[in-house]
Amino acid sequence: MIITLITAALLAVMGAYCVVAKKNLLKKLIGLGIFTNFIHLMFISMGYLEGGIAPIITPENILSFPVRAVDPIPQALVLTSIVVQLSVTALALSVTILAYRHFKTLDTDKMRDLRD
Amino acid sequence: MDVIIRTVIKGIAPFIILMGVAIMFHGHLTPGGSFPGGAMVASGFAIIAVAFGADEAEGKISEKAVHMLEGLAILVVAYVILFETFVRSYSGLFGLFGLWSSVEVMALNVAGGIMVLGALTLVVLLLLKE
Amino acid sequence: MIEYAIIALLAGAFLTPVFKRSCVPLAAILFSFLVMASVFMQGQTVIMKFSGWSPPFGIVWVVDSFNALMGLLVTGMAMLVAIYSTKYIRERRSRFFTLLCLMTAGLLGVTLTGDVFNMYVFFEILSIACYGLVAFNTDKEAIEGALKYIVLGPLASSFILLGIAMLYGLTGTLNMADIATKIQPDITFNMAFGFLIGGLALKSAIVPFHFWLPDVYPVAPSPISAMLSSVVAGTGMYIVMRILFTIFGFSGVMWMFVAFGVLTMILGGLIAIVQTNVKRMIAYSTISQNGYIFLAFGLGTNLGVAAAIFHLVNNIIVKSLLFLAVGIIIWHTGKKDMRELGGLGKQLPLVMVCFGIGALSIIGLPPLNGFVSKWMIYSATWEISPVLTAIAVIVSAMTLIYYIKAFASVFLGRSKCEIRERTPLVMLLPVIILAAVCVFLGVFPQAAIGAVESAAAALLNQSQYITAVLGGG
Repeated sequence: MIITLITAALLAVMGAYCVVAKKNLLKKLIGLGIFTNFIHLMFISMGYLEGGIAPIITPENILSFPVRAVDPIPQALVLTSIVVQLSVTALALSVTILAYRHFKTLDTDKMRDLRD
Repeated sequence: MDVIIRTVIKGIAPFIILMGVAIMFHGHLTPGGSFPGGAMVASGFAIIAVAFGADEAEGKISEKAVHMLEGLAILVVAYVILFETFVRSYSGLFGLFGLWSSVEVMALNVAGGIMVLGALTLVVLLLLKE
Repeated sequence: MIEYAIIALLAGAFLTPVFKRSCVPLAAILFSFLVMASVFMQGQTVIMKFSGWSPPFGIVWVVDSFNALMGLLVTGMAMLVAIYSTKYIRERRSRFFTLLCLMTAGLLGVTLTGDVFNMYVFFEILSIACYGLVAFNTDKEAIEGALKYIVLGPLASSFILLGIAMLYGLTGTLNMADIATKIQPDITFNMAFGFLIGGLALKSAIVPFHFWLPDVYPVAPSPISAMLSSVVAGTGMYIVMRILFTIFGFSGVMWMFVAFGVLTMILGGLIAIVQTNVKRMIAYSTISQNGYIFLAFGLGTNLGVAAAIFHLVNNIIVKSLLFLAVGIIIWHTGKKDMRELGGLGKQLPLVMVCFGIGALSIIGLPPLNGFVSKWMIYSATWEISPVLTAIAVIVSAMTLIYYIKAFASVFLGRSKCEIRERTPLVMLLPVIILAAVCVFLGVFPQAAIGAVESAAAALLNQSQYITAVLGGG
């Protein structure tokens, strides 16, 4: 479980770096996706039990289910959050296409028309 | 696209679609259900669209078919919900732990999966036509 | 009974593209407004369990007096904006009304729920509808504003999800009342709280996270600017107050919030003075008023929280009024720059009067409702420290400066442009209704103060909330 948490921390750093430092708009969106996936990974690995079984009730394990099963609530919440991230990414990609049509470039340094 | 990509995808795409349908149908027993199943089937269509171009993908599932599928799925979902609210004694019909152990959950999963499939395929096709 | 409000809104959102008439979303929003009005009139705490699962296993919706007030305001404002935009939006109307219904569903869900993850899901529905609506006019500055919003918004929501994930890992439950019973003064709880407030501060535009708001709010169509800057910002404040007082149970003066509030007030006011675009100036004014609300509830006393809630209510009403009035001007002339507009007072007298009422209310002149809420803020800060009262009065003076400047350049002076057609009645009606509410609440504030004080009492009384949800339910 420590391995997954360390991987999640690395993902967080990579995601945050991509959103902040990269200039291409598509790379920023990829960084946003990486950052959201860090949170999902951390969330799932919080519900893990050492040597746990998958949270599915079958006739064999119905008695020892509450003790041995991995927590199913984070899995459901992460499924919901993946759907949300998907919709946001789809919207962001359509806005990127519109921006490309207006500005003819994907470089965010050149998209600065709005000033005080 | 490349010969390698086209050959590989010709072999793999049916399996992706089949696995997506399996996840959809077993949603009340294993992790998964409507959303991951629908997303997998849509990825199967998307991978065909990327490798062979949007016209080939549209030959497999056209926009009109997507709209009809969505309408059908919405009707199924509405029917199941109305049926469940007014006639409450329908779960556990065909035994426990089997495939048909809870019919309305499976119906909702399949219908929801068709809806998700329709929506995502529409997004992919529209974005590729630009 | 309450769930029918959300069901009607979601059904309206999904049925609008099918039947392409505007009566479908209007009927949905009207129905939800009537449901929320009936809940507000009853005045009792309503607890609704989904599918019969009682907390802490299932999702509950808890409506106490604060929730009822916010829900009423949200649906009322949505109804006025929907009526206004039947004439304002001329193309792609079905898409606009679908997104508006989704936005109202998200707002209503956030205000009514008593479960932390349910709040996150509805907050995301709200955010996605907002991203779509900000990019609605597809011209150059709208796309740039929408890009900024789409990159920063999900980042803020990710931080909120991180806070919720940490709270779940620490307490093992997602119900608000249940988390409230398991909070300990541990450093990990402080970290979760920090992530939550950080994400919410980005969404509500508190200094130092305010930099996206003046680029995003003005480029949306005017009714959407009204909804965004009044109700969405208000819902952000609602979530912060709910997390602060009900879940974490802080009381007493919280100097961090006071400091942020003061910074926001001063910075918003200063930058608004130099603006030439009218909508951008009102957006900076929104930042400034949000600072007032943060300052007021950072004080933690009963009067402070009541003042914050009343200023929130006033902000919602007045900002909508201002943006809708400006929207009428933009609908006629198509210009947003104050230097190009002028002398519209003779041609649009009703709009001038309503904009004047809104501006005077926000400055804090009697007998309007802004005066009552600002007076409450002054008396609340006087008990803690007179320095804060002095800062609040100075920022009110700054507000006076820029609103008088805007009013004079837009409505008085020589006429620079022509109004050729009459303003449609459906666009004037919401503006007149909001101005009338301003004057009514200013002259007879007793009705509003009663509702606000019971809302503040319900908010600060954490144990009553917990026993209502866990014990009785």
